[in-house]
Amino acid sequence: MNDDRFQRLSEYLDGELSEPESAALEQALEADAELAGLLEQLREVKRVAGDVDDRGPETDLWPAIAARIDAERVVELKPARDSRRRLTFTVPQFAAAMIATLVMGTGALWMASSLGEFVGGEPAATVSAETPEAATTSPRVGELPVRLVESAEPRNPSRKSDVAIAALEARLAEGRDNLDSSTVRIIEESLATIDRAIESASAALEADPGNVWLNRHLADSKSRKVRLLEKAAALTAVRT
Amino acid sequence: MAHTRYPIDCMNTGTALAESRNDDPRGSSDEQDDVRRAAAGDVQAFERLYRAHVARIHGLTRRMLGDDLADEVTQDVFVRAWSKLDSFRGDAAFGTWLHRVAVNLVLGRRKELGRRRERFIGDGEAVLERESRTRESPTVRLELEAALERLPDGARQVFVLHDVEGYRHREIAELLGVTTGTTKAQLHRARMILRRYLSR
Repeated sequence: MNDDRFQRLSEYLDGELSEPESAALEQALEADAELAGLLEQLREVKRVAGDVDDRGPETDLWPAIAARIDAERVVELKPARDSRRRLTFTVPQFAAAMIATLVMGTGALWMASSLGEFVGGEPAATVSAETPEAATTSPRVGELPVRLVESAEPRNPSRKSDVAIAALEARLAEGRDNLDSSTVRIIEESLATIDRAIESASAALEADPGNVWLNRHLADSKSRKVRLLEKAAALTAVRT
Repeated sequence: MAHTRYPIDCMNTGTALAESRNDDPRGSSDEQDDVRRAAAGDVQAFERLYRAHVARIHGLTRRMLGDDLADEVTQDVFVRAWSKLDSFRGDAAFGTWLHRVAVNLVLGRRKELGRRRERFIGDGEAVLERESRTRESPTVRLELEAALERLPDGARQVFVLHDVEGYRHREIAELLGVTTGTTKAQLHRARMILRRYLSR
C-alpha cells in the first residue's frame, strides 16, 4: 500500500484535499480494493464518533457546584478598602472589616482553641486542674510545641467549630442591642450567605462523604463563620 | 439525544461564528434570560443552565479525561463558568462559550496529568489490538468510549476534538500549540487505531 495515499485517506475523508489530490486518490481507490476497504473503515469510525450520545453524570453534580459557588459568593462580598478606616466602624467600613477578616484570617481561632480553649473536643472551661484527668490533659506552657502540632490536625475540627460558633453566637446575641440596625442587617446577611455554603456542603457530603474537597470546603466555611462572628462579637464590645 | 457539535471558527476572537446543527447560534431567549440572571447572581438561573448543558460538558470531560475525572472536572467547568460569566458577551451561544471554557480547562488538566498518562503513548496500539480480540460486541458507543480511554494522549485529544466535538484542525492546532500537520497526523493515527477496534 502506498504510504502517501494511506496517510491522505483521512484528509480525503474530511474534504481537505485539493481537487487534483482528490482526483488522484479516487483513481487509486478504484484500482486498489484494500485502500478502498480501509477508507470505508475510517469512514465508519468517523460516523460512530459523530453519532455518540451525551449522557449526563450518574450522580447529580449540582449540590457540590452550588456549594462551591456559594463559597465564591462569600468571597465576592469583599470590597477594596483602606484597612485604617475600619477602626471607625461605620456600616460600610464594618462590612469591609468583616470581609477582610474572612480573607486574612488564618485559623487563629483554631490555634487558640487547640492551645487553650478546648481540650479533647470539650471546652477548656469544663476542665480544671482540680481533677486528675484534667491535670493530665490540660495544656501547659512547656507543651506548646506539642499542642501546635496537634492543632495542625485536630481530631474533630468540625465539632470545635460548632462549639466556637455556638459560643460566639451567644456573645453576639448578648451584645446585639449595642449595634445599629444596619450593622445587624449586614451581619445577618453575611451569616446567611455562609450558612448557605455550610448547608450546601453538608448536603453534598451526605451523597459523597469521602470527598476531600467538600470536607475542606465545609471546614473552611465554618472557619469563615467563626471569624465573622469573632469580629461581630468584638464590635459589640467596642460599642458597649 | 443527538450530539451537538461546536465547530468554532473563531476560538481566539470569541466572535459569533459558533455553529451547531440543532441550536439557535445565540441560544434560546429563555437561555439568554437565564444567562443574564445568572450573571447578576441568580443561582437558580445558573442551575437551569447547568441542567441544560451538563450532559454535553460531562461527555467532553469523560471522553477527554476518562470516567475517573469526569465528575470533578465537570464541576470545575461550571464553577469556572460562574466566576467568568461577566466576561460572556453574548455574541455566541452560551453553550458555545461554555464549551470553550470546558475545552480550555480540560486541556489544562491534561497537561497536569501528562506525565502520568505518558505510559499510554507508546503502547496504546498494542493494548487496543489485544483488547479488540477479546471483546464481544458491546454497544458501539461504549466500545468507542472504551477505546478512547486507551488511545495515545495526543491522538485521543485530537480525535475527540475533531470527530466528536467538531473542531477544525486549525482550531485544534491553536488550542494545543501545534501545527495542523501534527493534528492531521494524530487524527489519522487515532482513526487507524480505532477502526481495528471497532471493526471486530
